[in-house]
Amino acid sequence: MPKGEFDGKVAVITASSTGIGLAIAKKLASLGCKVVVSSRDQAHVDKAVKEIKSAGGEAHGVVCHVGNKDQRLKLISEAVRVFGGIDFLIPNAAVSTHMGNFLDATDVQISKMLDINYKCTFLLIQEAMPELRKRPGSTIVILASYAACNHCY
Amino acid sequence: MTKVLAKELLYENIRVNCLAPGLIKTKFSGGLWEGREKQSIEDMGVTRLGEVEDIANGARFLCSQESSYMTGEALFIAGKPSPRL
Repeated sequence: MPKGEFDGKVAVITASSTGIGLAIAKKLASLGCKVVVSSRDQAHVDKAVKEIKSAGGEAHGVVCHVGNKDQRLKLISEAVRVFGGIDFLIPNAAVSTHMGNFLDATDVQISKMLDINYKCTFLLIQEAMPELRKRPGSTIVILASYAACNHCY
Repeated sequence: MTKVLAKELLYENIRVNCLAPGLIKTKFSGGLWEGREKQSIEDMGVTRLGEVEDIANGARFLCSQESSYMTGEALFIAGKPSPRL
């Protein structure tokens, strides 16, 4: 696996101060990627950036609730301002509003799930397209779930 | 969404793929497995729960030119066969 191919590339990952998002940020940073880390909480973002930098990676943190258009646009503009563009867009932010039988989900739970997980993922991609179009070979990696087609217990 | 976007962006050379994690040990999914890991493994029909590294490896592959001939696909990383071909 050539380390060189990620050198200088910029990855933007939502909900990346913990869990899967942070693991992706750390992995890409370890390969030479500049990563833009984000989550709803400044302290969590700062902690994640510190962790990546301590390991020798390049990272910049932006507070972003994916349900907030201004914050999504800021996430994109910060990636451009600090690192020059976006090569990898990784919408990872999601909510899990209901556990148990799907048929027992409420109107409010379904609405929130679709709003954040589907609509805001789409809007972030749409809003980032002008930047992705500037970079040859740019890529989008959407985080979905096995739960899309089967139960997780 | 992945498939439609992948089709629309094909000739612009922008790939769109998705990762479909199974049950991964994170705070987000804690309600499902914390305090009952053994039972969770049995219920899920896997040999272990997933680690965040399992998914990060998938993201690396999909961002890499190693997957340059792949677009519009879902990479299931769930410790067991996905319900589709």
